[in-house]
Amino acid sequence: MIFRKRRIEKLIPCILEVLTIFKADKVKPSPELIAKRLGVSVDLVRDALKVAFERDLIKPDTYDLTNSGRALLIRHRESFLHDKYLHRFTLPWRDFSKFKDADDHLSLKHGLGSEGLTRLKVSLSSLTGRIEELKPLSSLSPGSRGVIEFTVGGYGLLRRLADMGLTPGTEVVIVRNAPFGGPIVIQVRGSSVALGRGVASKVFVRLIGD
Amino acid sequence: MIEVSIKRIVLALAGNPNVGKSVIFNQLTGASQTVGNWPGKTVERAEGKLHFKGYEIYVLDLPGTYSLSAYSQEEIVARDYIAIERPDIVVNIVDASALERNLYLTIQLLELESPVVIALNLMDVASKKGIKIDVEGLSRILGVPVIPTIAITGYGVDKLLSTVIDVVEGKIKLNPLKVRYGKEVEEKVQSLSRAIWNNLPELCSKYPARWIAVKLLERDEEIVKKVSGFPKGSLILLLADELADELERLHGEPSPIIIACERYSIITSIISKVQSISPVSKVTLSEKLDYVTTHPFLGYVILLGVMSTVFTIVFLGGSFLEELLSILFEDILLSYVEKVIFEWFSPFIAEVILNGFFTGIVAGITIAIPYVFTFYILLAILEDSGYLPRAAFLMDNLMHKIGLHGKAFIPLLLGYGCNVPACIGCRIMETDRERLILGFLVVLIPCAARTVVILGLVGKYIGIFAALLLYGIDLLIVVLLGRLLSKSLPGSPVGLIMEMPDYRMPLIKAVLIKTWVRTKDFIYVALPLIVLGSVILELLRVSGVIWAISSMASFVIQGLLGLPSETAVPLIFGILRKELTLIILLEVFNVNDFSLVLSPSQMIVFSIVTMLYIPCIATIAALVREYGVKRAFLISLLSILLALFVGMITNGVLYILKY
Repeated sequence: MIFRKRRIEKLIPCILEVLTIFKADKVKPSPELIAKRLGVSVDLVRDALKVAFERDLIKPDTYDLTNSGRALLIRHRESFLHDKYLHRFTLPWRDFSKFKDADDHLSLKHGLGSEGLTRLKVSLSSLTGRIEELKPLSSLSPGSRGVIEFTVGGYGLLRRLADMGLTPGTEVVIVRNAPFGGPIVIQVRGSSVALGRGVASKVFVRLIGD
Repeated sequence: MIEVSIKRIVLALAGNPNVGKSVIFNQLTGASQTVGNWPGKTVERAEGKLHFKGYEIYVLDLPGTYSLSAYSQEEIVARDYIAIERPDIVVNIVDASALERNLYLTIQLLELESPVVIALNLMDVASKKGIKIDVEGLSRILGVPVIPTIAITGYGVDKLLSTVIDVVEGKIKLNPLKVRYGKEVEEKVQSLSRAIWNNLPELCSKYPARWIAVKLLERDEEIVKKVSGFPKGSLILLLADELADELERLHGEPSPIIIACERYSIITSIISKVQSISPVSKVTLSEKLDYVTTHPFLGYVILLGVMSTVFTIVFLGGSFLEELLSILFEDILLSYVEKVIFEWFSPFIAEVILNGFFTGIVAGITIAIPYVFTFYILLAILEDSGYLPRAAFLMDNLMHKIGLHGKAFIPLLLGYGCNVPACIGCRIMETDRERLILGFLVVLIPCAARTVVILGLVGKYIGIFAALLLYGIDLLIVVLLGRLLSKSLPGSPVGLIMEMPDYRMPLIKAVLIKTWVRTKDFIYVALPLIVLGSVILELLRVSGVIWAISSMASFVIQGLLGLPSETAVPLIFGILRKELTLIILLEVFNVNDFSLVLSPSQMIVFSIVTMLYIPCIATIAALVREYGVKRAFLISLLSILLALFVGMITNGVLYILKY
């Protein structure tokens, strides 16, 4: 029973993700469809939905996210990004107690200005795919293709990238990967562009097959 | 009566970097061009003239940019020139092999409502890549003439010129594409531009109202600043902010990105109509070269090879030219001038004129020019071939350790040959901050002249390992200072975002023109400063003030550094030419063997101070040229303080070690 409870807790944010995808694709959600998309049993989804209805995360009739549901979704995406990608570049023995809250931690530790932080939240909230499907450009190997979803960074970086043709929705191909954490080369809009590893780790793409 | 008048046309060249813009500029103007800086900016301004079909065409080469936002000085310079100076025609040079990215600038030029003619360059490269472009279709959609060109062979350049004249004479009517965005953005642009038109007529006489509206929605700092200068500006800014916020809420992206996306979607629809790509299976030579030169192992081997070749050529070629010129000037010209001057003037004045003025000129010509000229040729070849971005790509990781990115590697390495070209090379960095950090660092690299001192003193009398140790210490100082500066200067380090252009065969003519123009520019700036410095030093010497200064400096020299007080004189003269310090040291002590007058530890301290303190006068001139007087002074001052500090510590350490 305890395991089942924990699984349900883990499933809820994923269900929220899938519901936003369905909404964007104009698919009418049902427990069966959700279960199929996530690859879990329908029973589990039904139970998780029940919990989500109780906590007022999802409206029972329309399957729309409530405000608290949306907030949970963004928090889930944020912590996923943070745990999976951002902390790989930092030192583990640094003192964590000096940060007030998550935002404080992100801005002081990962150098996200308040502007960059707001951008991150906005892009996370407008994401229509699952956060688990996104990868930073720096983690891809030569030959892989992806569509840019969003970039974590301030105006300056975003503008420079946009001027080189790296706007959200653009398809890029990884051409080369320098060793020892060096820059990467991508093909974008018919030209080759080299990105430093720091820049590349801030550009998140959704992988696509050939 | 027939009036004969010269008809003038002002033509501006605009385009992305690496599209062959400078090649077309050279084809148009030949060697008639001049290069300077834009007023108040460290952005190169190249201009030239040509005559064609009875017109005198004045050609201005705008800096190569990817966009017309306010991101860099180059972009501000380019868009202000086009908007405010209103050239008669803007020739937009477009890379046919990367049409999609290039049209981004074209769209913005059309938004500025400038009279555009497009030169569709690199047609040969495009067709090699299997890219077919419907030139007429493109011209029809954009509503401006599109002329296919291959700049390196000169193909299409005449047609381009005659089209320009046809446009100016009104034989070809421009009907430029009206850039229209998607519904949500377009509504906001229109309502904002109406408000701007009604409230800011003065600004609308400079820039198109619609363009101001788009820029305000993009939150462009420059335009926001300009608008806020008007009494009704705050009203407009408030409205613009509100509209931009609304856009951001709708799309979930920052407004500049929304508008960039809109522009690209216009471009994508154009591309789908005019461009077709048939995949080519053959791997081009450029691709092969690219693979090898960015290879994780071979790439570094090649980089080492290229850089040591450059180093050797600058060093050998420079010293050969120096020898040649000094025979010409010192042995032949100077001995003649000496006779004449001593006949005409009193000995005091004659000495100042001869040793100050003429020696200064000779020093400038025989030192700066050989190395600068040789370096410029090699730089132009590396630039035009497309190798520089590859070197930057390979070194990016290491350069991040000193707070800079890959491109910083090139000036640093050149510093070992001569600091002058290294200082000038610093302009390849994008931001002011990066440029300044690099400026501090390159003057600390021991150049060929300082190598002579280190080897002649420490290397000869103590041993080669001690000399190598000095190089090690120097490198350590560069790394530490780089880290310190990048941490303490305001702003955050800029990551590498750099286009990797295809490899191209550099054209000899283009390389020579570029080299000549840049060398000429350097002579104008550096020579007067070198001569002035030399005259001042000579005045000090002849009047005997130098001895007063050296006795004043003896506290520092003797007390802090533990050197004999006489060494102040060679150190002062070293400012003129660093290798002079050794010669003057011999003269001051009147000996032939340094070990008679200097202890080993004094030799080490003297070499360290020579290595680090104030850059030579030619380098200072280059610093003034690149950074302005204030920053050049700051960099020089820091290097003096650093030399004294490190010298003092070395002295202390050696004393404790009882060396």
